[in-house]
Amino acid sequence: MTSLSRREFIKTSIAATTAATVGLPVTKAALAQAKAAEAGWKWDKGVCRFCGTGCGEQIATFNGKIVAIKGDDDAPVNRGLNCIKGYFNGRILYGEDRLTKPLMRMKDGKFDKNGDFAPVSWEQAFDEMERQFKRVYKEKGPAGVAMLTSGQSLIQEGYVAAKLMKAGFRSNNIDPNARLCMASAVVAFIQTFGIDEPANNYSDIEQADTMVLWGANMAEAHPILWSRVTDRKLSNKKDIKVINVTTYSNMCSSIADLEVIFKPNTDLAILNYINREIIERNAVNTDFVNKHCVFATGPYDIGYGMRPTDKFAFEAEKDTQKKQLVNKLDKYEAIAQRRPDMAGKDIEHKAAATAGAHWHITFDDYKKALEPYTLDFVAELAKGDPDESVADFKKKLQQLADACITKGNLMSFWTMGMNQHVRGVWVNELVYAMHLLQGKHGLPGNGAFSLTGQPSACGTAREVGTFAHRLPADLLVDNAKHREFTAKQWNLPANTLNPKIGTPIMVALRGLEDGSVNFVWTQTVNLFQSTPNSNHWLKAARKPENFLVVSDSYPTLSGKVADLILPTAMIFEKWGAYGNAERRTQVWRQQVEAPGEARSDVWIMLQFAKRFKLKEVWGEQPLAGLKEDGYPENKLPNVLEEAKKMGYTEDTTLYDALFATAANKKVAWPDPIAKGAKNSTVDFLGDGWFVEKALFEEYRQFTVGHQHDLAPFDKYYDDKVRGLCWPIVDGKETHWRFSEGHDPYVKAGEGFNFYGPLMKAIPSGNLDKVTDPTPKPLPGKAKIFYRPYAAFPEQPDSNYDLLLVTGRILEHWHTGTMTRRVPELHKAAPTSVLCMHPADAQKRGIKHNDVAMVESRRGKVKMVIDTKSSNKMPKGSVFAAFFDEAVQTNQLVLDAADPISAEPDFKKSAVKVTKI
Amino acid sequence: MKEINRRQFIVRTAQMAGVAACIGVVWQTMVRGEARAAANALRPPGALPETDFAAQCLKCGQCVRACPYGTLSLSSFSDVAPVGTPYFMARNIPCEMCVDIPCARVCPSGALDAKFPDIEKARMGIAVIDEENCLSWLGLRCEICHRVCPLSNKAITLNIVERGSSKHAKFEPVVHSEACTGCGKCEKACPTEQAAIRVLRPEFVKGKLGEHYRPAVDGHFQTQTIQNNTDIAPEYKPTHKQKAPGLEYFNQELPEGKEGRP
Amino acid sequence: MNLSGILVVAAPGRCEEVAEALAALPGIEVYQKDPASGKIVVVQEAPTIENEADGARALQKVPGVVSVSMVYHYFAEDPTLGASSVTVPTSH
Repeated sequence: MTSLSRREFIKTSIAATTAATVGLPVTKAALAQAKAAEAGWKWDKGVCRFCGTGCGEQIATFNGKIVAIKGDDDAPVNRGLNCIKGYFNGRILYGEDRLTKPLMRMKDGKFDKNGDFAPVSWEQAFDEMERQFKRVYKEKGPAGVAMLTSGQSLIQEGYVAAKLMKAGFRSNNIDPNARLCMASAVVAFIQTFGIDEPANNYSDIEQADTMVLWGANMAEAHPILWSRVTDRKLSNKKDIKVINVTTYSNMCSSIADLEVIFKPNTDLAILNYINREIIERNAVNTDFVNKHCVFATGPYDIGYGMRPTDKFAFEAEKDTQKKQLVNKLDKYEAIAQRRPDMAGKDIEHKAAATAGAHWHITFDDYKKALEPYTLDFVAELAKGDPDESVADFKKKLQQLADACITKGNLMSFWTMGMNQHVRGVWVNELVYAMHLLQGKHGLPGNGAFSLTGQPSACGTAREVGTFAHRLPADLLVDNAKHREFTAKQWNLPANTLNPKIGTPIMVALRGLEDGSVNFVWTQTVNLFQSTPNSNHWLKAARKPENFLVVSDSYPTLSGKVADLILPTAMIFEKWGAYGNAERRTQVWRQQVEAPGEARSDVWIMLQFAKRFKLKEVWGEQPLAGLKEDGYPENKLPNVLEEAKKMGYTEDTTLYDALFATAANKKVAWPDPIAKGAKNSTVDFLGDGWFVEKALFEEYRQFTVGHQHDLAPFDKYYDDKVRGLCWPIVDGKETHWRFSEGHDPYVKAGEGFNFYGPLMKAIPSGNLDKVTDPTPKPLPGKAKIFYRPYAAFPEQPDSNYDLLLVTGRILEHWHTGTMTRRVPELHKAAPTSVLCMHPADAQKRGIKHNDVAMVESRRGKVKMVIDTKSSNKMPKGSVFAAFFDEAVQTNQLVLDAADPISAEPDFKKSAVKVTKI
Repeated sequence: MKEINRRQFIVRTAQMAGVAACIGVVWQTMVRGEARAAANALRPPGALPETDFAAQCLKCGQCVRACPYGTLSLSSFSDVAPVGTPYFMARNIPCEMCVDIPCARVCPSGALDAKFPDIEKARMGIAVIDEENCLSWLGLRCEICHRVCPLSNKAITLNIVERGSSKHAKFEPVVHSEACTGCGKCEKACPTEQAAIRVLRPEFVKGKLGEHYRPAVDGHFQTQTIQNNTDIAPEYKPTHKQKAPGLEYFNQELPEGKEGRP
Repeated sequence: MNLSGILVVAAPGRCEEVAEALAALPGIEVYQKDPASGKIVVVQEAPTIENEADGARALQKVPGVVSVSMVYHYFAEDPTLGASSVTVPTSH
């Protein structure tokens, strides 16, 4: 093809596309010519690599490179629109410092903990990794090793990781960074409905009358959804209400009818005030509540998810650390928790270990519990802007209640403000209570909808179950029936699976410090920058007995403290699938090849699995603290004899036993759905089976008939399909769960059925304690929880006098590993700044744009002060994003966590800011 | 602060060397007659109107030295402004809008108003948006200019437009000349290959708005935006070859946060 | 090479006249017109983005033109060149 004719072809193609786009008829000849032009460019569907919205994209490749990306017009999520991160999706693959070779710390041609990094072969890398893993495994058993993964891992990657760790290594020490992001939402879903994930979908935005944002800066963190909310608002200005309930004024307030600035943690009190008002105003949907709900509560004194000891604390942290065991009840907590005489007195956190326990209460008890949350009390407690009068704030609370107690359609949206919360599970549950009391959930335009931050926090971390306590499709490791079902699916001898819940992320990192965990493998995650209180783990990783493997595509801070760095393929360099916040599973084909020796995570894990024989892992293994029916004490049993009966030998590798099974090997590559696309994972593995398809189909067997039904692999690759929302029963998607006519699991005549099977039998009691321990079942019902107001542990004081909130901004994704490689995005936001009220800055002699020292009990960093940001902080609070490695914002953050979900609270750390 | 001081020191040294080198040629060009400054060569805050400014300015370079951000340069021989006069290009280093306006304070000639009261009253230029190439106007969620604007919601506001059929609103940035100081942070941050928002000296914008006016984008079509991947800004070229990408980085000490580690 | 697919809308009844005038402009080719709606699809070729913007302005000035909207934008000299080259500074 000469360049002239190519040019003509392209022009024809552009003309035809333009005409088609603006709705003009396109001649057959023009289409044919356009097609000829696209003989060079190949367009295929894909999904955005970034947030949990799950926007569809079209990707063009030419000569082995991605040359163009556009929003997918047919995608129901984004209808052709992209945000700035989506727009640069193609570029993230092509940063100059993409990792292309395994790098290991070496001295004199051998691994040395204190050596410098040098390029090594994959063979060398796996040899050392195997040696180190086996050293730790022999010494400490399954509890000594951990794999920390991501809500950005593909569905297949999550499945391989979970199966390798749980069935292969018999370790539940696998946890995704979704722990830092979604865990509170997950626990609240399970406690309330017995099953994980939202009941609603994005189209509810177009049907809602009132939309309330609870601690969600949707305008920056979910830009595409926000443009839908905005469009809805503008389409009918008078009737549609948008309310921003937040601790500081952000971009969402620009179109909000009402902005409520509250003091951190008092969202608990505000929601109890609204729920009290629902009862006061006779707005309870009694028919719905009687038929479909029960009332419940749990213990109050549950601590703050910190270490119970200050043995490892820095000197300055010790005063905060002590509060894990005992803390003084403040006067508001005392009133809110109906024990006013305890105000100012020490309270022991006796229920820290049983924080998740809960029991039935009566409606009268529930009503009694809400009594203290009067307008006057809550207004005085919750007002978050010192410059606002109590009278004005009171008016706003009333308006908020007026809007939330409505005959119209009500949607609540939330993200990290409510999840990264030392009482995250509680506050999630109070929003459900608000919706359930009014019967407004799981219906078009009505629902409490937790948005996700990561592209497959739902699809991988939650649905596949890469958490320390989970198995695929909402099954749990500490449930004997679930283990039995899983063992059957995976063809494992009985009691191979470990019944003891493993280490959540923060516990695994603390394990590097206290010596309980010595081998950590991270994938698609930069925890040594993103976790709170990171200075501890940065030091701990370098202790001589620890071995840290980091799989990533670009250099990260975590790699800097690692011992071995494995270069990985990125999104469109492999076959994959993601699941977004509305239960939509979306797929793509491999578009291009990864650079150099970078390989897919699936290939890496499968290669590693080849290095283990059953006799090394399925023999007896030590497991301190294990006490479980059918298991010896403190040990996992030897299951090799039974394995032999099942046809395994002692020398069968984990690769053959778990992955390259006879059934999976029948799923052959090449496959017609590839339509010419490559599969590097299969090519490098050299075994000829279609790994991604076989494993997806194997995983799908967990979901079918269990209210999680996924469609067959090939269905998702249909040209017309733009993702499908599960459960998919008889080929039909489910857009609203639990309600009749929408959800195939709800029978005619039931109206609603909250059929989630977990935690469906609980004891009974009063507001203070269990009175009847016999579990009483609540089939098909949801729980309306009472949860009290409680303060956060590290209140600002005269020394650390400001409250630090950390989070994300529009231009950058998490720790900037990808977005900081896009020059345009880097230029737009090169460094993380500290947003501050101008008066707070002035008081410290600091001007806008000055560099100041920001210090907490855990570390100090220099930051540029910004008093003019679109994040308008009230006096006393400051905000900083965490993407900037030079700043390492999260080292300042307290590693307090919700004691039920183990999700850290990134929003409430005391700091001081001084001029330098 | 150490690093920043060091950077400032280097910048200042370079600038002073430049000033010294210029002195020889300044006299020649001054007698040779007026050159004209380019539309995007912006003057420091509090400057006289352009014709008076070029005449009044002593070319002493004090404002350049006073600028803590290295924003200002003295124009050299074949530059975009008359030789020896101070200017800045927004796409390179924009004005940080110091509240104490150190550049104007030190001006001995009156070309800059040494008593200029309020940096927000400065009119160094006016931002102009090329809506045809502006990502936000094309329907993407970008709005970076609005976010970086020091007078966000005054100098740049977002005009939010519903697009019924697509379910997604459009967020169009709009500049308001009555509030825009011309600091140039928007032009600096604009992510398009050539900035779609540019700051020009006010005389190039005032009274000429008609020329930049674009008819509203047809509401009926879906914007298709193509991000081409074949060209990347050259300024990010790595300095030397490594045995493997990332190696140098990993073998460096932990970054600065270290000093703060308890 | 910059190629743009542009939708030009002509005033009622002036579609043919406008299409002719557009075709006479340098770098512009008329690909399709629909007299009923007044919509005309043109493809513009310009060496740089600046020329392209000038060209778009020229379209706007053609008598009888109601609106000009850029729909499709292609700007690559040679897509085989591929892309690369970013290192990110990690300290102030």
